[in-house]
Amino acid sequence: MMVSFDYKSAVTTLHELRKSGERKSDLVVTLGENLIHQGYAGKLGDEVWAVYEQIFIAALDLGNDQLAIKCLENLDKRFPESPRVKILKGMKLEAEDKLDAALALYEDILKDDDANIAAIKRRIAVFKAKGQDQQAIEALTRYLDAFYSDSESWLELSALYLNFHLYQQAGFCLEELILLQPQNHFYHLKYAEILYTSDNITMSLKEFCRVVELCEDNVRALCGIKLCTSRLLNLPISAITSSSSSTNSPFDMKTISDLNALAVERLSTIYSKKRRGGSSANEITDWLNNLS
Amino acid sequence: MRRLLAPRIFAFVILTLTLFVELVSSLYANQAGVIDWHHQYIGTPKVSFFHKFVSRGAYVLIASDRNVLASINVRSGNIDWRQVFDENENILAFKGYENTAISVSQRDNDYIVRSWESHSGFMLWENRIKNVRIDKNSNPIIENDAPGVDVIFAANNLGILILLEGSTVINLNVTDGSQMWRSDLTDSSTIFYKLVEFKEKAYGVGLKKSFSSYTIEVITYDITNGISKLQSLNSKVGNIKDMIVLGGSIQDGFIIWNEGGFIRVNRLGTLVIEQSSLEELYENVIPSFANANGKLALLDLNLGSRTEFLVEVPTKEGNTAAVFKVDSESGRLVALYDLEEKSENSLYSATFDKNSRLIISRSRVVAEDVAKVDIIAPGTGLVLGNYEIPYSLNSYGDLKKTVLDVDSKATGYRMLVTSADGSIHFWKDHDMVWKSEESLAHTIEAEFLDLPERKLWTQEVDELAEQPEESETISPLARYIRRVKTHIEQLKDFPAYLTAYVQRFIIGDHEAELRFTDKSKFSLHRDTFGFRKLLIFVTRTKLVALDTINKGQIIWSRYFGNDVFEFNKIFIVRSSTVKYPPLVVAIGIQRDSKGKIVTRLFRLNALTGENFIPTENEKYFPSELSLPIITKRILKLPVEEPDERTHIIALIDEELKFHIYPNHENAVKAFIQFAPSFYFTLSDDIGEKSLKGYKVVKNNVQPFDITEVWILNFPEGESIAAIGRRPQNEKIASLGRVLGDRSVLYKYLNPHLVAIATLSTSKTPATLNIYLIDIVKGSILHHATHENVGYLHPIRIAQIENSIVYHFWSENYNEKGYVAVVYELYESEIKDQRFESPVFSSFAHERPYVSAQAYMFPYGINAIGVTITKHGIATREFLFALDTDQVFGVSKRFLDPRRPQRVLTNEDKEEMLIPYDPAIPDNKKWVLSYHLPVAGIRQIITSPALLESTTLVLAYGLDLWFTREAPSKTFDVLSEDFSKGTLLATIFGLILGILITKPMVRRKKVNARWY
Repeated sequence: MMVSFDYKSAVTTLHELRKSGERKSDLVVTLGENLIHQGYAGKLGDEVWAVYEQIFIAALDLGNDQLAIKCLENLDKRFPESPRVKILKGMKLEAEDKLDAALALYEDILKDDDANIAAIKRRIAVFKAKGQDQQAIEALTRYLDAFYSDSESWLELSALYLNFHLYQQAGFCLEELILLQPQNHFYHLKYAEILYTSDNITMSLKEFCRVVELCEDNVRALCGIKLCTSRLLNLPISAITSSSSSTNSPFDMKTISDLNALAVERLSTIYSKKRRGGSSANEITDWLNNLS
Repeated sequence: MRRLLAPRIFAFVILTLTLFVELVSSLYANQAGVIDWHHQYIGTPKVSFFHKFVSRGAYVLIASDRNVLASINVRSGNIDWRQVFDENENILAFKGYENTAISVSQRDNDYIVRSWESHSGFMLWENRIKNVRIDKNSNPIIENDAPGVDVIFAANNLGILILLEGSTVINLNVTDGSQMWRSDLTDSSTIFYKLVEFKEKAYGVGLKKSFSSYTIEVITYDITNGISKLQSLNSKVGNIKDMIVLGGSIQDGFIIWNEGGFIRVNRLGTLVIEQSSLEELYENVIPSFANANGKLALLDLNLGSRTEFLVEVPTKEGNTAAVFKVDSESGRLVALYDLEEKSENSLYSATFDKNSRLIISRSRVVAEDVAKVDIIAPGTGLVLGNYEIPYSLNSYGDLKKTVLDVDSKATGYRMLVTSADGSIHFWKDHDMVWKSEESLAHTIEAEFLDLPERKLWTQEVDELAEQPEESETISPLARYIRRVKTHIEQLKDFPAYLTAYVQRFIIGDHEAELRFTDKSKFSLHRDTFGFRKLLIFVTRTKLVALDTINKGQIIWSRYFGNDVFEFNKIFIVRSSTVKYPPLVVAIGIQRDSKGKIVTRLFRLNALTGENFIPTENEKYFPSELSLPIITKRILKLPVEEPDERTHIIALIDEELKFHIYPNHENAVKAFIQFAPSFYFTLSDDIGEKSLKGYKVVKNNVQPFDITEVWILNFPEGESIAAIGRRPQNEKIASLGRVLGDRSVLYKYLNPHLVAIATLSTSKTPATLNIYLIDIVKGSILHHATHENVGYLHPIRIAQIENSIVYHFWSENYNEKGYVAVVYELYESEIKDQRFESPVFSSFAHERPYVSAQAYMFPYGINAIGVTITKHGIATREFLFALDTDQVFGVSKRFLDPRRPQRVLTNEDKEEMLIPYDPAIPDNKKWVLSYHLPVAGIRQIITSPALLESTTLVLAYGLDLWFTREAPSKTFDVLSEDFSKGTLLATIFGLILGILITKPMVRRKKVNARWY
């Protein structure tokens, strides 16, 4: 087992994990167990409650019920009737697969305080866990009506919509996300893919280009550009002109073919550099050649 | 127009008000006596006696040589009442009778008899007696101090008999002082000394000059009508001291005198003379007289009607005395008691107890610090007590006079003692109950002495006192250990210091710290603000050092009466430095064994009063020195000798030789270097008719010769009335005066400028002339004349920086009153203009521009002082010693010749000028001494504190009065109203609040996150 336990570094590690929101549950549980069993909990001051919560959630993750109960007991003793602790209790119920009981608990909290974000989110999570995506979507849209700047929820909603192949709605969610965080290329990428899926090639190409602009040599985006340009190059002329006139496309054929060539060139350069095995590079080149 | 005027007037009122608010510096009742102190003195007693009257208890009545009558509470030594007479009105006699006391004083040629209520000091009546014999042909053999004045109270309320000038006898009514009769003696060869009254007849006893000695003359008066009859006794008296007169009132009076080998007794009113042989006395009656070695002296014990007296005889090893009595029945001499031989000089005084038993005290100083008092009842031959009293011979000199009083059973005694230095002591049994340093009533000069810093002082004690050879032998480790020891030693003062510090911090009382140090350890050091200094006084025969704080407590005093006849100067020749203590030099005169006058110099450590013995160069620096010269002038030169860094003192003798002190080689060298630029004046005293300028001739022979450079004869009839010199310690902050438009008038700052006021009394009213003289070349830089000046009022003049203030009485018809005139001297009348040469020289032909203004002054004055601050930035204040016994401070802003005589312009307002007003306001808030009667001020001296705002002020003369004055208010210290306590309480309150609420807030914050 652990020979020496560094209290200070453990506390900083936990603090950093809490701040970044990383879910390294096994690490948190190891550190937390040491902290609690070696009696360092008293030293933490006001931070101890946040640490208990952190350890509790991590313990649920790992199914370490003993530790989870201990944490919850401490919290419950200190903060009786606290909605935040109630949510933790709900999570415990969720972990024990008592979803209905958890749902009832959350609804109970919301009855007192219908703006309790954590409760709202947990409720949505329970819907998802129960497979009731419809209710989840409904709850999420209502939630986002009020808390429209919650990007994770927008992302979650778009994922739910995609489950039902509702590309337009999912696209709308991503548009909101792009408005909230215009520098995040993942949202652009996801949006470009949704557009491609819903066959809006020119818009998709534009978004892929945006992704490459924000994140140089993004392979997925380069592939997207290759796919889009290939599709556009293979279309009949009329289709293109009509398409370009209707969508007010900035592209002409020359640009498209140049983009195509550029994407191929960048991809081959990237893969030739990586050299993870000669075969994969060759496969890519083959795939690229097939496309065109 | 009207509407415009109103705001202007309003603005003017506001302006004036703000000006006044700034200038008013007065104090609250509870501040009185906190920083200032007042010592009341009366002078050395000429006449002193215990006065008891019915239920009022006993008190001492005193008439002093400073012409003060006073009653002193015997328990506390406080003055119950005091009457200060004019300087030129001498008190000649003072006698108590029932609830009154009669004083006889002389003013010019008139005698003034006053009756006082003895317990309150209120005057009951006054009678001025004129035309008493003016041709004083007193015989030179007759001692000067023989009483030419005597006062007796006739029995049965027949009046007060007063003998004046040894020739006139008057009888005054006790109740109203009206004269009942007067008898003038025409025979000028007889002088009467003593009056005796009994059986409704008064006898005057006097001496008439006959061939080689004196004959006793007795004049007999009928008390009711003053008819007189002169008789001569067949007698030969060599000296007035050989005769005493006893008895009177309820008994017969007797004359006792020493003639040939006999003591003779005459019963007044008869011609019978009884005699006793001295030989018989020596051999049989009084055993201790067998060792007699000199003339015997008769001592009157002043016992009123009693006939006991004392005979004192010097012996080979001291002196002895015996008590005698004239038997009133037989008129014969009876020996009562032999006081036996004692080696020390003894003083005797006598009184009687309730049973009319005679009690005699014999007081003498037996050792350096012990005096002894024997109380004897000679009638029964009992010794009632021997008492030893601590008494410092070094501080007070020998005993001069004692006055005894005993309680009803004579179990204890109390005694008023006057010592040689003039101070009064009150002894009771084994203790000195109180004393009063009356020598300070005769202060000749006083100086402020800066104290060394505390840090330096401890270092000095610690290390610097050691010899160089000694320090070589000490190892660094030993030195270190010693230093640590010193610090540990100091550590035990720390708790007390800390409490004092905290106290000081909270209440802002900076003297708390000093009070602590005085209690725990006697060390003289400077305080934080430099308020603590020593005041070194030189009196006629004594040096006294007072602390400026602690109510002017005496730090040391030293009596020089055996070495010095009279002091005339004191100089601080070296101020406090790290290595050496401060030094003072006191200079006085003394007659040597041949009766020639010599000048004596003493170098003293100013902190202890001991002779300063330097560690090196002993042969050059005798701490006591006699110079066989009579000094005409003594000056402290602004040059230091290099060895010990003391200022050189110059003594100019009658033969105009210039001596320097110290006069060793290096000092001479330093002086010769300085001499070419040294000019001084002689015959610049009050009353002189010319002024002479001198400089030292360059020769290397001591004493130096001086040569007259110039002479300035004042016009016929003019003589110097007052001189104003710039103070040596003045500081000038700015070379010019900045005007409202930012231009500058440059000050005329000539270090050699002397302001002289002369009075021409050839016609009355007199004419006052003011001369501003450059003493280097003797040129008159400015001359002004005031006509119709009252010469009976003192003229006073003071100079500071570039201003001169003088004060006189104007006799003009329409403006009779005191006038104060102020001058300010500038380099030019035109702004921003200076003298052409960059270096100021007295030889250049440059005259100052004098701007002047005169004001009516509300009071007559005796002295002018000026506040001096550390850098001279604070507004100056002129301090006037008023003839109402007060100190009156007038700001320079009121005595300012630039006060405009027109409506104030904006520039005037910028310059903060006050519009001219012909009178200096009689503002009671300007009286610095509030209600204290500071009597007889002759001089006001000032010294800067370390704070720029504050000056230390001392007024001396008869009384001493010291205060700290801040002419521009204390702008550099927090005011006393600033409550540090509240500030601290607030801070502590806040800290407490934080301590209480912090966990609460924390809990709330955590809960907020979880609920």
